[in-house]
Amino acid sequence: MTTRRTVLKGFVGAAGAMAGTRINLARAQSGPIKVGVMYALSGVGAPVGNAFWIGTQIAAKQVNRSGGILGRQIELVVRDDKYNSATSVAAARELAGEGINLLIGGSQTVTALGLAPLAPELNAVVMIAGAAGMPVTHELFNRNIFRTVSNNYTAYSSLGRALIERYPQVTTWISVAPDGDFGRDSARFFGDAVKKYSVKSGGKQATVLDTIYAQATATDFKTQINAVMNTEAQGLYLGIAGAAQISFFQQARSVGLYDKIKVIGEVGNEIVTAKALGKNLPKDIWSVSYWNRGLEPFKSNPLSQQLYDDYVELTGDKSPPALVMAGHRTGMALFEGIRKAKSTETQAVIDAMEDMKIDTVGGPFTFRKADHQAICYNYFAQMQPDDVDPFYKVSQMARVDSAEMIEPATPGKAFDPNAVQ
Amino acid sequence: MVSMTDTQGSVIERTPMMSRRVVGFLMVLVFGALALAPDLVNPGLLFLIGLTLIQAVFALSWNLLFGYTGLASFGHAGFFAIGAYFTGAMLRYTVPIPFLGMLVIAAGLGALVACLIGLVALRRLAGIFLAVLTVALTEVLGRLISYSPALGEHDGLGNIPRPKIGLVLWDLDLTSSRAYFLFLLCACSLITAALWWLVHSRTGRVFQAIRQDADRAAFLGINVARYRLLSFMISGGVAAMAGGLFAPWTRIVTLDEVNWLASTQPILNTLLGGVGSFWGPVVGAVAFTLINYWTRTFVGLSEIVIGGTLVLVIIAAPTGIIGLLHTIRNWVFQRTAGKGGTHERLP
Repeated sequence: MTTRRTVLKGFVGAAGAMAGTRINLARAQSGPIKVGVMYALSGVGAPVGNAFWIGTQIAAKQVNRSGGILGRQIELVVRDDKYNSATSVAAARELAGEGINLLIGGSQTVTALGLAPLAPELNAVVMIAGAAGMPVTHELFNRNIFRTVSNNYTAYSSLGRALIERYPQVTTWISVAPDGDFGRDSARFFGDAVKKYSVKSGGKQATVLDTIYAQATATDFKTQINAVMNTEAQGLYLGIAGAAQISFFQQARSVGLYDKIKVIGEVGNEIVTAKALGKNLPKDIWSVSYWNRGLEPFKSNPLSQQLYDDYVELTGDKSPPALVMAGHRTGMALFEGIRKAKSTETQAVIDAMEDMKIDTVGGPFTFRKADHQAICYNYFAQMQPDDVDPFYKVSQMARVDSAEMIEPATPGKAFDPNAVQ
Repeated sequence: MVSMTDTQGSVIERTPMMSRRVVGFLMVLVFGALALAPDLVNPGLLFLIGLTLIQAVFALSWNLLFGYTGLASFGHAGFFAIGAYFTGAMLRYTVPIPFLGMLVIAAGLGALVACLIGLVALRRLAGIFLAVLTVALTEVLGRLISYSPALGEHDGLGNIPRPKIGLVLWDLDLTSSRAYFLFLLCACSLITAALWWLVHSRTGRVFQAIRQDADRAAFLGINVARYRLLSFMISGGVAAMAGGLFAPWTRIVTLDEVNWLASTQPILNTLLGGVGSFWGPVVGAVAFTLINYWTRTFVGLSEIVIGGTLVLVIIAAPTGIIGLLHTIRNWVFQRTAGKGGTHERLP
């Protein structure tokens, strides 16, 4: 008897709760400017997502400290995308449903690919902060998305160029990369740039040997290391990331790979590897990087010092990960777009950002109008072992202007690596 | 009342909590409320409700196998992924097949793969072979997809357009979230109704007989291997169809749908809701979504809250939420009956 009544009561209550979540779609014209932020804050993507999140928070704090934009403060509404495309899509829809049309997300390619096609439907501006996958600004391009980081082609061809220009005497190169699309592409882009810029530098074309593949999460690299040892290679691109990279180096050192290979370019582990290996770091390794406040050109840039000071104040940590700069840059690009547009309306912000040039911690920054791809400097950190604590040092930062390395814009069409040979 | 033994040999009693009339009324009410959801709730919540519908069907497909036939699949995401990638690719590359046809083919592919695995594993009459082979299926699928540029490799198959269904006199345009959600609601309701009919049919009773005691069922003349294979094929087909519905809803399919973690989702939903009940997986899927939704702002803590809640539910209610409700109802009725009895004994 009571069951039906209880059930009906429960249903009415649930329906009321659902109706209560209905959001007033009218967007506030006063009060804080709400910006939705979706990064991977838990799970395997958290080290990357948290660094981005800290950078974006600092950008908002800096803007708010200087009086805000359009007389309004920035309020960040954060969601954890859990490094999952469906969660990212749900978060974007929820934030848009709350009237937030300015979104930052895509700290990894897998989440960016979910967000990109959604942006026009939500009538939102979506800043893609960290995803380097080629489809974002090619086949998935639409005017609502802006990528604030270099894509894979630009990043790894820049690394190849940076190394061959500094080490023209290294004439034979090889790559060890994870067996997947990213690994294959990054090794190819690196190798193609090495060949191309060895000739442009006035030397003989460098030889790039066939890439050796490994599991991205493998712990045993003896087979791959022995294969490298059996070649003539003196230069190495290592596309293996994370803890697997550290295992690779530990095993490589014990069989003498450090003596054979003169220079190594790595995918972007940077000081994670340096901290883990310390004195056992290879003697000359270059890493895809974003920021190092102690070295030029960052040392003399007041924006860099301010970012560091704000980072220390926010976290209490004195060793910021370089990715903080990328999250900061993403926030700043959006905030400057709003400032230039004098509006928070989607179309106005898009128009403003298409013709915007700003100064960032990493130097001048702009978007290519045709595909909204970031044009900025790509940085590479040279790391070496050291005798004093922490037993490694970042010796110098090299940079390559992505304007010189960027592929032709083909918005709406897939990237064709053969077209950029 | 239907009774059955679980994997430990204890008896699970399937006593309906409510009369069929109440259940029917409740179903109509829930369907009506869900049909109004696009006008009532935030688009983000609507998206999650859509995912829940799909997860509920996915979990029902798993429970058909485990709860009704006594077989375990630890790689059920493989079937889901077959449907999701097939439908996603067909829509993405505008292959001229009607969307309903795509769903049917997706289900057929799922059933076919289940048939091939079942022919190898089920003839051995040992559940572990099936569990291992389904895990292997998921791993192999993940590898194949990661090498396929057409399926997006590691990045995933993105930008999947939502379909239009060509009818005789007009096109049913499902490109908007609202339209596709309503389609999803109808499709999931129909699949659920079909599964309900199946488990209450003679075939469903045969499945349950096999689950309770396969040797006795065989002695009674039931072709156990054939019915197990049939159950596995239906389960695989329904999981693939759930995947087929998933792709246009999220508009992206990634390798996240083809790993062991995705395979645990229908298991968790079923255990949370109650393995001994047809509606257990549905209740579990809803509960899981609610927990997820309420903890979404606890950055970094949501997994801990979800995990803790699951542990709590499993400790406090090993028969799931439905089992817990059942216990509470029995306790209330016993108290009521006790009071009534005392009253009768009074002079």
